[in-house]
Formats: sequence, C-alpha cells, structure tokens
Amino acid sequence: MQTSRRDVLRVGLSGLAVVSLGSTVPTFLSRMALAEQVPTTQMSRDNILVVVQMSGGNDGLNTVIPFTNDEYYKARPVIGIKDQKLKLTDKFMLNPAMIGFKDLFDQGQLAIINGCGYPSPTRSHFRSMEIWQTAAPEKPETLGWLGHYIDHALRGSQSMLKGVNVGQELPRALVADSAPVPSIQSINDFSFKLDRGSQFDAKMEDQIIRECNAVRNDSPALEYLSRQATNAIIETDNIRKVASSYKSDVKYPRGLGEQLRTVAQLINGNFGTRVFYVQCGGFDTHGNQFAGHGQSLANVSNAISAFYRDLAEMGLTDKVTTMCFSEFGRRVQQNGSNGTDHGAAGPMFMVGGKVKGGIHGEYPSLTDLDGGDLKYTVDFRKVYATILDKWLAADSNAVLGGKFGAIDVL
Amino acid sequence: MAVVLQPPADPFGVYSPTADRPFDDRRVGHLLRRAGFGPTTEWLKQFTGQPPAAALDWLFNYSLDEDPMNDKLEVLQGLVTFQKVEMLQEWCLFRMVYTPRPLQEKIALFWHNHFATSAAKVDQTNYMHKQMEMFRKLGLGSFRELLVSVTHDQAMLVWLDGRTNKKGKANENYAREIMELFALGVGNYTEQDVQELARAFTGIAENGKLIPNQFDKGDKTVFGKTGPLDAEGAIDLILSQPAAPKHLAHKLLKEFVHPHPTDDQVNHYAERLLATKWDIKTTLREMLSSNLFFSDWAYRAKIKSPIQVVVGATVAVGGKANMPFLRESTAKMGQEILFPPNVKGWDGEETWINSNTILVRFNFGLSLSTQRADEFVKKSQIEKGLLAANATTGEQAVDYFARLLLDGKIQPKMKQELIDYMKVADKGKKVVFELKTDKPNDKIRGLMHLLMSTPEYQLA
Repeated sequence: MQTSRRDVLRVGLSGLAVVSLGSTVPTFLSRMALAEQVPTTQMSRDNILVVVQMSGGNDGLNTVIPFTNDEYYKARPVIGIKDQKLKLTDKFMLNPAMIGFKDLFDQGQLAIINGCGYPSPTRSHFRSMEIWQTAAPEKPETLGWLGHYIDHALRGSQSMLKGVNVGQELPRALVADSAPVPSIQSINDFSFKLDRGSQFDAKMEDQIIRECNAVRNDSPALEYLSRQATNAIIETDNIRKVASSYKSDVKYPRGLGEQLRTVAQLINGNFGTRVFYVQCGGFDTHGNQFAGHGQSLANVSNAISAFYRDLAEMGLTDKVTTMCFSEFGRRVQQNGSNGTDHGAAGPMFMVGGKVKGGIHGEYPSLTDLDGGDLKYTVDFRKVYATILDKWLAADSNAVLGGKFGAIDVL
Repeated sequence: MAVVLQPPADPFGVYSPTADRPFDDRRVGHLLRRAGFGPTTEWLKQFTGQPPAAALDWLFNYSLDEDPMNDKLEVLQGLVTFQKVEMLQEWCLFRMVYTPRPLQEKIALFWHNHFATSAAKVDQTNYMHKQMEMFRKLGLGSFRELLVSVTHDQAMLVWLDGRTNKKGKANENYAREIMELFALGVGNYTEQDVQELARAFTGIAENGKLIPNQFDKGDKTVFGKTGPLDAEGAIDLILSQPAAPKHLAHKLLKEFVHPHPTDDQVNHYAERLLATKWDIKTTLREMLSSNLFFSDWAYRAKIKSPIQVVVGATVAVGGKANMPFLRESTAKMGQEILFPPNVKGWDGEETWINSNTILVRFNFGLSLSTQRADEFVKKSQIEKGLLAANATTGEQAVDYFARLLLDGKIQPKMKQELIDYMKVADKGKKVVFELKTDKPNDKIRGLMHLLMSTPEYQLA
C-alpha cells in the first residue's frame, strides 16, 4: 500500500482529534494540515525577545564595578578589580573582560539595570532560579513567566514556534499551558532521519513513526511523549524548509555564541517566534574567581556582540532585544577562598537597537546590607513588566498577575 | 484527559505471583529496567515463571571482593588509562553494558545523580574515577557511611569547595548543599544553620584528611543544638532530623518506583530506613519486592533516562557497541555522564523529553540498528539473536523485538502494521519474509528502529 504524505497527515489528524488539547487544537490542526503549503517566510516581523540566563549567581559587584567606592576594595582586598580599562562613567566600569559589552554601551545599545532582585531573597540556586523564571517569589509555580506570556498574549498566533529554547533542557520560564515549547540544540540535529538505504522502506517507516506517535491518552506519560513527538515531527518539517537559507560571515565564539547563532538562524527563517531562551554557566564562583569569572563574562559579552553584528547585517538590530539575568548576585565580602558565596541583588542587562542605553536603577549601598548581601533597588518584575508592555505588546498585569510599574529602558 | 491509575491495595506487602499477576515478561522486564538497564533474551528466559526472589537475589547479592569486569576491562587497557575524561565516561558506559550485576551500576548512577559532581569543575579525572568507584562500592551500604565518604571525597572537596573551607575562612558551599540537596531538602534549615554547619566541615584537605589546625574547634549552633561539632557529628545531627529519612525515601521511590510517590509511601520507607539504620540494600530490596513496585500504577510510569535508552538498547541486542558512539548519543539526548548540569543533578522524567531530544532518540534507534557508521564493532549481533531464538519469519521477528524492547506489550494496530511492513520489499513488491543468514538485514534493522521510535519505548 503506497501512502502519500497527505494521507499520513490525515491519519495523524484522526489520532489527534480524540484528545483534548484545549485552545491549541484549532491552530495546531490547521497548521498541520497546511504544513506543506504555508509559506512561512511571509509572516510579518514582530518584536523579538532573547533571554540569556547566566546560571550560578553572577557576581554583580565584579561585573559593574563601583571603582570610586572604597567600601568595594575594603570588602574585596584580593578579588577587587583595579583595572580601569572599561570605564563607563566617572563612577562605574565594566569588568575588563567585557570588551564586547563596552562597544555596545558606547553605541548606546546596552542598558545596565543595577540592583535587581526581589523581597526576602533566597540563597538557594534552585529556588531563586525558579523565582526568576516564574516571577513568583511568594510560592512555587508550575508555569513560567514566558509560558504565561505565550498562553495569554500569543493565543491567536499561527506560529508553531511561538517560543524556542535553544539548548537541551526546557527552562521553567518557558513552561506553558497551551502547548509544549520546543528545545532545539542545533538546526542540524533537529531532523527526523530515515534509512536512506532503502527508498520504499523509508516512506513506510516515516508513516509508521508518525502514526504511532499520534497523540494518545493511555497514560499521562504517553500523552506527554506523543504530544512532544507529534509537535517535533511537524516543527522539523517546517524548519528544514526555511533554515537552510541562512548565511553569515560573523564569527561566533563557542558555547553561548553557537546557541545565539542558532537563534540568528531561526530569526532569519522568520517562523513567528517571539521569545528565544539560551543559558550559559560558570557564575557560581565560590573560589579563586579571578580568572574564571572574567572568562564567563567574556563569553556572554563576546557572544552577544557577535549576535548583534549578525543582526545588523540582517537589518534586524531594532527588532531584537536581549535581556540577561542571573538568579542572584554574590556576598559583598570575599570569602576565605578568594571567591564569593551566594548573595542577593545584582545587575540585569538589556541589549538592542531600541534599548535606551546607559545605566539605570540605583546602585545598591555597600554598607547598608542584609546579612552581608546587597539590598535590591529594582524589583526584577518591573523589568519583566516593561518588556511585556513596551516591547512584546502584552498586558503585564495579566501575564505577571500584578502591576509592577515600568523602568525607562525601552 | 489521560487515564490516571491509583496505587494498589496492600502496597507494602510482598508481591507474590498469581494467575492474573504472573511473574511474566512484563514484570521481569519492569524489574530489570528499574534495577538495571533492561532485559536481554537470556535474562527473560532465566527469570520468567520463577519465584521473583530468584531475580532479586541475583540483582542484590553480589560480592564486593572481586570485580567481574576485570577480564573484560583488561582487553581495554588502552581505554583504562583515563588520560581524558571521555575515556572515563566510556568506562562507566562500558561497565553498564557488560556487567553481570546491573544493579551495582544502576545504584552507582543513582548516587552520581544524587551527589551530582561534574567533571566540568573537577578536572582531575582520577578524582572522578575514585568517586564513581566509591558509589559502586558503597551504593547498597549504609547511607551514613556514604555521606561520611562523600564528605571526604576528593572530587566532592573540589566540586563544592570543601578543600578551601578553613577555620576563620569558612566556605558555605558544601554545608548548604548537604542540607538542601543531599540529606534534608529546602525549608528544613535556616541560613544560620548553613553558616554554622560550614564551620563543622572546616579543615578537610583536598586529599580527604583533616588538618587539625585548620579545623574550627569552637562551638557551633546547628538546629538549636550547640557543641564543638566535627564532620561526622554534623552528619549524625543532620541524619537525626525528621526530614532526613523522608528526603532519601522520596528520592529512592522517585528513581525506582514512580515519579510522584505519595506521602504514605514516603513515610513507610522513611521508617524502614530508620529501622534498618539507613541500610540501603534492605530498604531498596523491600521496595523492589512490593506489590507497589509490581503494580499497574508503577509500570511504565517513568520516562527512561538517555543512559537507560542507550545502554538498554545496546544490552538488548548483545552489546559490542562503539563506546564513543554511546557516549555522544547520551550527551545529545541531554545526559552526559560525569557532567550533570548542576549540583541538583538531572531533573529527569518530562525534562528528558522535548522536541529536540525525542528526535535524537528516534535517530539513535536508526543509527544503532542500521549501523551505517562504526556504531558497532561486530555487525551481525542482531541477526544472530533472532536466529538463536528461531525468530525467522516476519511475524516471529515482530514478536521477538516486541518482547525484548516492549515486554510484548504493543498496541494490536501497531503490531499489524509492523507485520505488514515485513511483507513489503523494495519498490512495494510483496514478499514472504524469511531470515536466513546472520548478515545485516534491512528489514530486521528497520523493524528495530521502528520499535525504538514508539512512545512506549521511551518509558521505563
């Protein structure tokens, strides 16, 4: 029995129809049936947010350095940074490893928001990361803040790829109620391979795999697996068609750079994605942080500056805003191992053509501390609210479940 | 909505086979997946229809005096130099594939995930090697002894900065994580407890020995108790907290039984841990002998980890795999052994699966079965297995793989499609399939790939 690809899609549909997928079903089905015809390149360009998560607790004091403040050098006799290569103002300088960020700052495309945090901070990596990802310091939540955004604001969007995580593990921030957000490591690996040794078998195999992964509800685990598989097969069909057109001469550094290159590739493909998420590590600097911390910061700063060079070539600098955060800052006083232990408030960064470059937010006092840690001056949810309201055309009140005001960065 | 099952009646009673709950392929497969990496045709034959105690004895009663892998590892002298961390990763996977004691490797992997230490920071490969050997040796022993060993373990002393934690210059990292992640869970201690406890762990040098003048002999107040606490005293104090046995019972249930254990179950096994003085072997054997473990509620309730997928498939089809291929495959699926993402370890379950990793799993099935590259050293292993089992017709081949990979529990519609698949040759010509030689056979390989691409196959 020879089966055309259209028949395969039809079989997939009947499998799907028995399962309640909530509000996503119509979009999902229409997308699926039209998968072969929809010219994905014809979507309009909406504003895009890229979130860069700096995992481990970035030492903000050694990132945006108050080099005229004696208290800083008193608390950090060994690890306090004296090299004034990257002065921003008469009070602050960047860590000397952040050359890429200094260039962006000079072009007015980097906003630094000092003193970001939240009430009653926890010093647990995991709980604090969860708080930043769910925007809910009061109690644990299942859905992420960007998941809420996708559920609320992108309800009518036709895109299958409203949000994309570039990396292995989906962060809580992107956990949505309406549909699973895909994780893509690289465009190359994001394909569904068949045995090319035998043409006919390959067709039959394609059909059987699609059918046996059609959404079913025998158990919660099977439902979850089959939904993921069904979505993946459709997404890969779409992406393969478009992503091959990306060409760029920009050299990206390894690690985070490669992830951002994949983001650039997907932006170029124009799949209607509004939110991208990438992660990098190396910020949990409990010991001998001098070399390691600089390297981690250089990694972020070089990767993001390469990304914006690439976007500039595509003419999309004004369409993409990047936000960097970490789950907490670190203790003001250096510890016994020339490192720093878990702390509280720290800076956030925003990059992009439409960002109001410069230094925002009050730098926390180095003497009025909370258990040795900096007190926050900007609730991070105020930054989220600003992005949601001013950049993503969403209602921050609905997404975050409260009003947090705005900060003048966009 | 998905069908949601409930835990069984008499959950903690010892499972005893009956006519409607036999110790068949399904239950033997279940046990071998949870206590190891999955069944082989030989193991299924050996244990089905026998008393479950025979399989449990085989899994649990191994001697620590000799290493059954020595002969096999000698073949790999070049590999066992551990010049590079990749070699150690492959050594770990090699053990899992070839071991005659799957539980020893499985429990070592469990502790590797529990005390999640990463070679990304611990760049001395021999430290990582010693830590894995410790988990293999103490894995089924006393949890107290294990905690004491971990506290003095070189890899851990580097990973969580214990080596730099000295009198007057405390480093809180280990003290925080032993309470938050290893023994109690968040919410069961205060920030004050972290700072005081850190002082009890001061003075342990990188070689695991105590340097007396770097140890803080002063009084510490932890959990409201004050005294000149040292490392072992601190561990005893932590283990005396009511949260401690529950924390471990929950973790064991999650790993071996069900991703969402109930409070009753946690409390029961927490009590057993206390009653056995933290004896892992006794508690875990009780858990894996229970009605709870063999219930419909627990069956296929977990999602296989990448290591379980990769090692399990390799074991099922007779091993002889190319280790770098296995290592790279687990990494692409999101579980690079010796490199857990952070000190909490891999979150597991749903987080293993996203649209990327599900495709990587399917593609792994294709690579393993078709062996277009050098995935296998020997290429004819798969057909040999079928010939030995007299599975030579299309229908027999479907049954053979369905049993080996899915406990024979396959949807009837899917089974029919696979039988039809076996009947069609190139260009759509109908044929009667017959396996005649042990040469790689496209249809057999395709069949294996298809079964590994079902959602059921992703479940443990």
